[in-house]
Amino acid sequence: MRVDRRLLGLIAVIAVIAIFIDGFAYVYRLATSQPLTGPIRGVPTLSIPFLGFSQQIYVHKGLDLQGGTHLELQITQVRSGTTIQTARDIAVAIIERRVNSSGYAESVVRPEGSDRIIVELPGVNLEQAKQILGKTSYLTIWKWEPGTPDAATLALLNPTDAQKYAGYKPVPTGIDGSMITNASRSTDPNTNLPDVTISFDNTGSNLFCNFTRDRVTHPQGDPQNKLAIFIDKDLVEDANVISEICGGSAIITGGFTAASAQALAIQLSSGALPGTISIASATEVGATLGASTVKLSLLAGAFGLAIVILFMLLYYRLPGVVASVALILYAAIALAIFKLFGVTLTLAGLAGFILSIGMAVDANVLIFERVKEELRAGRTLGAAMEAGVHRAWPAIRDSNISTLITCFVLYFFGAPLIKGFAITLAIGVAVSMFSAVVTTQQFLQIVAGLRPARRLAFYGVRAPKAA
Amino acid sequence: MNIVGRRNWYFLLSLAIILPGMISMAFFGFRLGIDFAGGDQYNLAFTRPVQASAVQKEMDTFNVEAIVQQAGSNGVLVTTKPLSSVQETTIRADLTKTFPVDPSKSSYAQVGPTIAKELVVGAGGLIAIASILIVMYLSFRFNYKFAVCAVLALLHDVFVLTGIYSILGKVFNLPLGEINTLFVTAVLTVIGFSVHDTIVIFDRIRENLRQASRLTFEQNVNLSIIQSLARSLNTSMTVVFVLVALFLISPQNIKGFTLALLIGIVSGTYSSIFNASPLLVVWRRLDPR
Repeated sequence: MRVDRRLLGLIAVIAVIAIFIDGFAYVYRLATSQPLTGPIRGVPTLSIPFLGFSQQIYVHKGLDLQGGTHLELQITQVRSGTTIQTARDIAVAIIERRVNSSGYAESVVRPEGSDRIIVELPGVNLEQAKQILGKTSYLTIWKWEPGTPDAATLALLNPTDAQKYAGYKPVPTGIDGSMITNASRSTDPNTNLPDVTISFDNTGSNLFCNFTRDRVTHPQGDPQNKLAIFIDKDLVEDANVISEICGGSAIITGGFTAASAQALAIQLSSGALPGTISIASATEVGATLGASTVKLSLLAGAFGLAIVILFMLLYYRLPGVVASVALILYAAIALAIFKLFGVTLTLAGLAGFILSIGMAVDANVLIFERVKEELRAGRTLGAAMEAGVHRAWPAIRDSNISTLITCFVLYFFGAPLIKGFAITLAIGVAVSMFSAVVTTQQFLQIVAGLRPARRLAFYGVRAPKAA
Repeated sequence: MNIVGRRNWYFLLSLAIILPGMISMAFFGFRLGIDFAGGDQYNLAFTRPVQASAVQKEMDTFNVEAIVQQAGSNGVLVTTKPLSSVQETTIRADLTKTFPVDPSKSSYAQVGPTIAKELVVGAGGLIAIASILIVMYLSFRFNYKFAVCAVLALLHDVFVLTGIYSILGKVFNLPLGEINTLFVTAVLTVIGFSVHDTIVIFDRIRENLRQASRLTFEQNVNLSIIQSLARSLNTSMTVVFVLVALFLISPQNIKGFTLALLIGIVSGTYSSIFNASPLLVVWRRLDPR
């Protein structure tokens, strides 16, 4: 195979793109005097909509590398009438809103499986995380009708509150916290006591309007004239309805202090979680610990690369130089892909990447060993290189495909941590195949075409005794 | 060099390493990390040396089945049964007050029992599925005998690694021998490496078999091993160098991970040279078709 100008062009284009991606974010950060790590301020995300792709270009580090809290939340006791998936999605949206309003950059809230939610909060400890996630408050509005409460109602509400009026039972009105668009602390103009003003969305507003219109028809003092607001299990408001309320807002009074009114307003405005949410697992990593792990990994990576390059130069001489250049290009391309697709690098991910470097080196070693053999057999340089690549290919192909199969299984069936490992390894292996078979091979052909490079000593091979 | 001829010695060496591990696994099981056992774990770093026994004494007052172990000179590892949110907050506040804890260097993990169970089942299943698919691919590229031998070598490495960790964790009671999610990652890495290594030698055998020669199958396999020896050792040595360096400078929490990788890579190299290919010869003798 001769030097192929089109392939060389392709390598050049990919190299330029990789260097652009690796470098451009840093240039931008420097130009706008931003720190060199973490998310970038003021850069529009690069998005390719038809690939469902939208990313900022920088290395996304997992919590084990940057410190923070990782929580896996489990939803149980979903309110009747909601499927667990719907409940999960509502909860994700609500938690996302709470997290974002707390202003934590680069936090992640995503569904996991059918009933779990993963929350990742960089730079936050567990106590702070619990505060951000907040208490779950579920507001429901009930009316009183003649009868006695059944077991289901007693399980849902505090029994003492549910049996407040003998001969009456609480009946749901269908109005709940999910219909609240806003809640804020306010002050009663008559008593000067703190209270909470809530605003309803259209559905809630209509329901509330009809409900109050119906309640007004009952005389004052009759429980059927009352409006009962329960928060979680407890009755917090049991007020007389004096007139119909159709403006889309209502006021909860009920012996609040300024602080408790504020707390309730926050709980209500951040939405009602559609079920009970408990922490299934939590991990907290100190910031310095994460940073030292990164430092260590970089050190190991640099050390590893240095050993590999040194070894290749000493053992394979001139092809070693070629392989080293190809290897550095390989690392740049793999890193650019991580950045481009927002792959989150974790400790396991780094392990996958380091393993893929090993495999990239291995592909080169396989080719060079073959080239040496061909040279010893007395072939010309060009022919030996061509045959070397050709004969090493089945081994490179089969071993890398087996690795890709493993990655595939891990990615689709593995736990999140294992997924991170699979994706970096798969990207690494795919790029390493390109690196070994296209880049190294083309470079070798160029070298073979140079007259001064034709001495066999450059390849660590003695001239054959008799050709 | 006649590697295939001495195969029984090599098989014996493998058995000598695997058997004690198997016995340990059967009788003692594993020292499970909290990701598998469920529970809470504090990895506390202190600003000055603190005795593990002092921390143990403090933890005993909470009655949460706490086990405290020294981890480096300035740190301890505290493992407890699953804690409630309130217990967790109380204990953390107490520890921070009593001891010079450096929170930025410490870590904490809590795993509920449901998740722990899922992970154990998941990890075993993944190894099984991956093995089956690899057998299928290799049967297609080589034939089923090659495929089965490659997977046997793979299982060899898995057993060497899990066996040694069972001994480290249970017999020697070292925190290093703890089985956690990182360990599973290490096992998977080793599987990838082992198959990779085996295939390179098998490829050589496949190529040599195609060429008409007067060599017997056994001689052919031996020749192929020798021919790929330089490559096998070169690749493994570079990886081993990196891992030894990594192991020596690893912080306590990932030392077990790097050690597992190190053991696995050495075992993977050994099994592809001394087990996978000689096994082909054994099989060929039993079934000469």
